[in-house]
Amino acid sequence: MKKFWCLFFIFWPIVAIIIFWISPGMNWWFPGESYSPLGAQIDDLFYLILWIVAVVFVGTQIGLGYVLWKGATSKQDDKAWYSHGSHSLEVMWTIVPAGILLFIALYQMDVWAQYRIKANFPENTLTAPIAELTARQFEWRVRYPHPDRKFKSEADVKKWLRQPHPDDLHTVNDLRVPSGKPVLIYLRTEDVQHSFFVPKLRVKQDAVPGLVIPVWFEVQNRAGENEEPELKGSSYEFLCAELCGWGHYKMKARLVAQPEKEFKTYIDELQADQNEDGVSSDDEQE
Amino acid sequence: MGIRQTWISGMLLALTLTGCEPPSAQFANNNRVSNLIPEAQLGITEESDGELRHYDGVIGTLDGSFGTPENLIAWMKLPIDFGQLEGTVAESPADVEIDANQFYVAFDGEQDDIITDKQLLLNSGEYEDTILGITRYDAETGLLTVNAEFEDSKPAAGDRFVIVGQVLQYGRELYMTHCLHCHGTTGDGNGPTAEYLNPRPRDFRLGLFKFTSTNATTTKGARRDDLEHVIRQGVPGTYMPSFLLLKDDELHAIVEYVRFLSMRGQYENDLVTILEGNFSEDAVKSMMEGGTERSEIIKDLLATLKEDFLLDAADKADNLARFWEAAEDESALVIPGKPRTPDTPESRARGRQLYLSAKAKCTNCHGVAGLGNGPQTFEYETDPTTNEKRPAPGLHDDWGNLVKPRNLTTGIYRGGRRPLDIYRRIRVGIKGAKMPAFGGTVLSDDEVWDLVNYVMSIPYEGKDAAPVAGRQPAEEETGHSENETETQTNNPTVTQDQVAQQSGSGEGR
Ligand SMILES: [Cu+2]
Repeated sequence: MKKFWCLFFIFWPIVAIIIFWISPGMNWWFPGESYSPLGAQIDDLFYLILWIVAVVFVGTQIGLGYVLWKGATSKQDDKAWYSHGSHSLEVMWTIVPAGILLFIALYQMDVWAQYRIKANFPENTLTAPIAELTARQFEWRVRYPHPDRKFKSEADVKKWLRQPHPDDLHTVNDLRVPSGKPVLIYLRTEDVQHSFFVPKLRVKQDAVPGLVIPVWFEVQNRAGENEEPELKGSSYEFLCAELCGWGHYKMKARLVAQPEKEFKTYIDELQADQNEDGVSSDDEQE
Repeated sequence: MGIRQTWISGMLLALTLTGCEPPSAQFANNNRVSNLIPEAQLGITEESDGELRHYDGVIGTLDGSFGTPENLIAWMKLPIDFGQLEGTVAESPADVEIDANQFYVAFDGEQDDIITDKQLLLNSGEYEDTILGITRYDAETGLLTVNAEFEDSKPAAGDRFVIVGQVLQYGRELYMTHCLHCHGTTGDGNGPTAEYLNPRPRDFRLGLFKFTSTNATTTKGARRDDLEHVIRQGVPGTYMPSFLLLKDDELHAIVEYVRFLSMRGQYENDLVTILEGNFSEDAVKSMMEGGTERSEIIKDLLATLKEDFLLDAADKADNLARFWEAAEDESALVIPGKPRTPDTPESRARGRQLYLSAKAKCTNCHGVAGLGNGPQTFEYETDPTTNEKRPAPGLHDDWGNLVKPRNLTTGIYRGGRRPLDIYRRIRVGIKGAKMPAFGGTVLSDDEVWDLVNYVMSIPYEGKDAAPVAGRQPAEEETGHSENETETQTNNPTVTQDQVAQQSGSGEGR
């Protein structure tokens, strides 16, 4: 009976390991391919940590199994004995995990800095924002600067962010960016805290009341999943990742990354639509 | 003891199970219905020649035409796309045995709608005009299971049939997911989250929608396009979010269902109106005070329900259909007579003159500075239903909600921000609200465009818009880029004027 319990507790870790091992092939849980270069680096970090955790998990389970088995097979007359612990063991299992954590902390800094520290942003993105993205209960409002608007400095951009301009272009739940180059948006919220999350690009950033937060990302110049056929596979879902109220689940929108030329065409169309007077252009669209 | 315990746990189990069943959805009745005497609401059952016959009142008539949320009725009189699938009864394969309530069918075209729980109408052959309920459909083999058993002969191969209502049904399902928690099961704008919202969600039952493109002179209705536009774009400045990612067929189904709810609400009001004069609690009370016996009144009601009520209701239904058809008619669509006047300082100045003039009266509500604080907002209005002064000063819409005239300085446009949208707001007005329609006679096209140019410039008055570099000066006709240039070289008198008035109005931003 002792051996049964011993085998029972060894069996489950083995099952767990097998399931985790086959899961990427079965398309379970794993986030899939990233469609942005920085996202690929974030994935590398994720997999590194996963490997470290996997090794620790397997090692711990083997140790546990060994102890159980040894106890189960020991002779009846072995008596329990009292231990004061082992100083060297204590030191070891404190220093080794601390070292691993320190390693992870230092190793990820580069990616973190690229993503979050303004000085490391790709060149010229801060003064050439694609759009201002405003979260509000429960939708995403997009404001593009006029395509001819050139910002001289960050202060100039701030000025634009502070107040609407007559030539701005507005859409809702539909953010378009050019693909194949780093792009930057300014994220803000009109009411409570929201979070801008594009799973396929590994982009996630909270929108905090009172702050205007620059977020940059790059969408690879390639087809994503065909969510919408007419957008030729360049459409990515983005959503709110911060429970923001009863309509939180409604905050699902679309990010479309198209090659520069198609993006330009889109902006031109948007501009024409925004100036629609019902007469000048024949095809009156909604 | 043991028996008692079993009994109690049995009870507990029963309680848990009953708690799990979802409550069935019901359409709620308009408050006006409860003003009628019970007999007028529920109808009267009469015994004649030993037979009982029921004559429907308001509730029965309404439900008979529209059904319940779980059993919707496609009333073909109404201009709604309920969805219609046609097909033919197919030959059964010789080697397959099927039950008495099954037969094979083939649809005319591609068919991927869910048709379970729908009704099928046979319209040729032995079973012509028979209605069957579909309980199961196997898309692969075409085997259909219905709720009736055929003892001797089944519908013959080649018999034609039609299934109606799958679009409406789909619309209801989507409505339940996306719209119900604000707009309510009945479309009364009173869903569970509604009470936390300001402005309140639209109550569809008046058949009125605020942001439309139809001229108010021939119809007060809204076009399908108008509803689609609002659902796709949302209504900025309110809690109506954008549902841009809905697919076209989903959007269509929701629009049809909203129109259905709207027509149901209007018809309900119509039916109450027919009986209200003589058979409301108040009317009956005063008649009884005048010496009339209650039984006399009931007799009178029975006579009405037998004939006049039905005739009047049919008339009302015809009107209702015409109301919605008129909105879809091309002639109802408001299209500017001429293109937008170039957005020049002169045009804006003319617009401003009009804005301040007694002709357009904009300042009465929107205020001189456009802050939405005109003198009308301090007046006590009279409630048209009670003829008493409202408890709070300000403008009320047809739903009885206090509404603020738009603050034109914010740059938030609920009905859309394109020049065409603003043109239509001025030309068509906001239906159900106090924004009047400046039809063709009050303001000419030129005048409306001047007003549009002025109104669109208000949010940027007196503000230093950051200059745009690299623009060709010859780029004309794109109103926005011109806007920009003008904001900097803005007509200085207008700007100073504006600032002076704002400080004078004593209200900060
Ligand atoms: Cu949110």
